[in-house]
Order: sequence, then C-alpha cells, then structure tokens
Amino acid sequence: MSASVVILLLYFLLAIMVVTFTVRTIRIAKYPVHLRWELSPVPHEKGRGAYGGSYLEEFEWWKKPREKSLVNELIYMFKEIVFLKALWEHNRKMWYFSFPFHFGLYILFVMAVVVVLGGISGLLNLPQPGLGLLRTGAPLLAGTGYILGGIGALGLFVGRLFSQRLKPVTTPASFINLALLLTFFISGVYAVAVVSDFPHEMAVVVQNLITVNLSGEIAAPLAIHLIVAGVFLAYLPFTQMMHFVAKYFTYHEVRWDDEPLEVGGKMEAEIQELLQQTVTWAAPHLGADGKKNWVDIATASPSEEIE
Amino acid sequence: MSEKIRVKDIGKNPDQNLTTVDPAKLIPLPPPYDKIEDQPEWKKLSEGALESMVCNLDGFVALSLPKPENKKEEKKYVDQFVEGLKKLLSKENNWTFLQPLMLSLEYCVGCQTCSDACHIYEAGGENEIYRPTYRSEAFRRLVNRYAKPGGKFTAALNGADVDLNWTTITRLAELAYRCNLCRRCAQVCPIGVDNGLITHEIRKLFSQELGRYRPPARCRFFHRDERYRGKGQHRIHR
Repeated sequence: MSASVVILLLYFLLAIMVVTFTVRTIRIAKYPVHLRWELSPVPHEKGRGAYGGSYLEEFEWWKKPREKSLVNELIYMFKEIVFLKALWEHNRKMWYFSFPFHFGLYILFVMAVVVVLGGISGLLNLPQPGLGLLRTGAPLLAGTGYILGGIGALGLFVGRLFSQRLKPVTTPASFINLALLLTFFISGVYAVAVVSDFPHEMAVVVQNLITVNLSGEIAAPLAIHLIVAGVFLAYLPFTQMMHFVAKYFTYHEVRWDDEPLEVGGKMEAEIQELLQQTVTWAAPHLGADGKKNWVDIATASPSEEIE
Repeated sequence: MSEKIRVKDIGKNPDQNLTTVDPAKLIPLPPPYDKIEDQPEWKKLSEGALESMVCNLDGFVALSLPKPENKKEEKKYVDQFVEGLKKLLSKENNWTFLQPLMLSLEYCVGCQTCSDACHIYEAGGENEIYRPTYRSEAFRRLVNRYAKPGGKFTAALNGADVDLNWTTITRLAELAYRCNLCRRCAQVCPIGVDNGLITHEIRKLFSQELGRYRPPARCRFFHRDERYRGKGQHRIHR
C-alpha cells in the first residue's frame, strides 16, 4: 500500500487524538476545588493507611508536621496499575480477562516506545545497542501483547454480550470500544505473523512520520494495522476508555487528596472566590433569589427563611 | 413485571411497581425473626395515599411525590428536573462536588464490582434495581442526553433508551433513598467511581431544585411545616 496514504491518514488521526486527549484532560484538571468526602484507606497516611486511619486521629493535628509515605502510595499504585489489584480482590471473574487485556496493552506500549526510540536513533545515526536482540525480541513482544490483549478483549466482549450481570449497564458504545480493540489486536497479530522484519518495517514508518517522507510502500497487513491503530487512538479520547487518565484524578485528586485548608493559603483563596458565586437553585427552603451568593445562603438563619 | 429489569424500564408502566420486595428473597434475619411467617406484616399504604402520591417503585415510599393532574403539570415537573440537572453540572451551583461527580458520571466502565460490595443489593435479594449502578446508569443516561451539549446526537451510543417523564424522575428519586450512602461501592471501585456520590447528588437535585427531600430520621418527629403539608416535606423548627 502507498506509504503516502497511510502516513497522511496517521497524521490526521494522531492530530485528532492529541487535540481531544489534551482538551479532555485539561477539562478534568480545571474543575474547581471540591469538598472532601472522606474515604479510607489513604495509602500515604504513614503508619495509618493499613487500617484506614488518618492524621485527623492526632490530637491538635494542625500543630504537628504531616507524616506522609510516598513509598506506600507508590506500592499501592504499582499493584493497582500493573496487576489491577482492586479487580483481583473484588471482582475475580472479570480480572481473568481484564488483566490480560490491560497487560497486553502495556506490553504494546513498551514495544511502541522501543520502536519509536529505535526509529529516532536510526535517523540520528546513533549506535543502537541490542538492535539484533530487538529484531528477534520485538515480534515476540508484540505477538505476546496482541495475543494477551485479544484474549482479554474477546472475553470482555463475550461477557458483555451474555452476562445478565453486565448487560444492564452495557451501552452500544461499550461494544464498539471492545470491537475496535479486538480488530486492533487481530490485525496486529496478523501483521506480526506475515510481515518479514516487523521491527524494521515499523521503525521505517516511524522515521517516515518524523521526516514527513511520503515515498515508498508499506506492506498491506502492516498498513491496515497502522490505520486501525490510528482510528483507535483518534476515537479513544471521546470514550470512557480515557479512564486511565480519569483514574489519576479519581485517586489523587478525590480519594487521596486529604490536604487540609490552610488559612491564607491558595485553596482558601480559591474557595473564597467560589463562595462569591450567585446561587440559582429554585427550592424555596434555600432562599436563593438569584442575587444571594453561597455565603449569604449558608449564613442565613433557617427561621428567617420560614417567615 | 419480569425480574430481568432493564435500565430503560425505569420510565415504563407508571401504574405498576417496577419490582416487588419478596421477604423470602431477603437475607435471613437472626432469631426471633428467622421465620418469615412469624414476622410482623409490612405496613401497607392506604388507598388515599396511593391515590394522591406516586408509589410505583417497589411498593414503599420514602418521598411523597405527587401525581401530576395533567400533561401540562407533568411537563412542568420534568422541566424543573432538567433545570436541576443543568445546575448540578454547573460550577456556580455545584462547585462543591463537581469534579468527583463528573468523573463518576463519565468514567464508569460498568464492571459491577460495586454491586457485590453493596449491602442493600446483597441483603435486598440481589434485586436489579438495588444495584449501585442501576440508579447511576439511569441518571447518567438522562444527563448524557438532556444536560450535555450535543447529548441528543450521541445518545444512541450512550444508551438513549431512558424516557424522560415523571415516572422515571419519581422512581429515580425513590431509588436515591434505597442507599444509605455508606460508600462501600466507592471503596471497591477499581476506577474510583463513587456511586454513593451520584446518589447524594440525585438527592441534592430533588431537594434543592424541586424542594423534595427526606429529612434525617431524627428530624421527622419535629413539627411539620404547614407550608409543606401534603408535599412530603418537613421542617425543623428551632
């Protein structure tokens, strides 16, 4: 297949991915500060995380330095990200498919990084230690990633199709997501199996992308796989599959964000500003008349509202 | 109605209960309540109460919501609800929980891990409507379709099958009181989605926009405010 078609299409799809991914991530990050609704455990609570305790147990905690454990948090994150610990503990049936699915994607991500670095170093004529090993190892790595991912995606797809437990909360989008992923894994396995010197061909595509080189040909199975991968990447930020980004926020900015409000600090200033906003809730017991702000409503006496 | 209740059923058949609670399916109680036949019978709603208020979820009523007199009145209530949805998603009216709410609405993958952690679902005979995800999913579909820009275009992908009517709204309000906000569901969720928070926010919408709420049990013994008599609302007098 003509490289120009594939390369131009990849530029277009990757541009969509980068823009939507960035916009959506910034949108989550820019939500205003929220109230904390405690939920245990918080792993960075040094010596207390294991039993769900917190610094609030300490007498006059505000007079003492906070004791945090970054190591505990990193261990928790490692187990959760790599092994899907929560799913293993609370939903074993789904873990059997979700784990290979995610682990396959991690392997492919590592492989993509290696291929991109190989492509760049080739362009810069840098020495490429272990190139021989990569040539033999990359197809094996990629094949493992595609097969694991494919088994996982197929299991999740079939589960959503037949499980009475999953059906009620499964939308058409869930099937489209999994079908697209399944196509990606299958086309990947096929490309690895039939394209000779798969890592070299991939490195050439990366080099062509970097140097805007539209000449030459790309083997059809690899071209199809790259287009499917591009479509998936462009589609990804529009879906709930962005949960790998959302998860950073649900854990670090919601579950584990137990920073207390400091008088005169940045959080207090932000909250003071938010409290000045006009409230327009319509229920009579709030007394929001379209002019009162949060402070006015929070400080009004309920007995006054009744009269 | 079939036991295989789907999310879209929440808006159908307003004159029937969506489900019924069978004492035989509930988690067994310890003695002396271990024999169903020895247990006192559940109190039934009077004919008068059934005529004046909505009771079509599971035969029980936590909020006394009115039956609309006509289509015009139903539209008024529905419009109020949609208005409330939009306020719930706005920084001005709901900055206090906007980020966790949006994360919970947009990133649930529907793995149902939360159901096994929910004591209401487990002890309640594993009834589909008591799953933490049932009310959240119904609410999510309404939000996606009616409160988000372009929601009507993407509705087919996100599940456009929940009717927006007073039946859906009142069942959703009742369902928000089939949860005691213990948040075990949030604790076990691999993504960090908080279905307890979604329930909390549904209650907030009904309280702060439609003026329908259920005060904590300890407050229900206080004098009932005359202005709200018959609307299922109570006021604490100080």
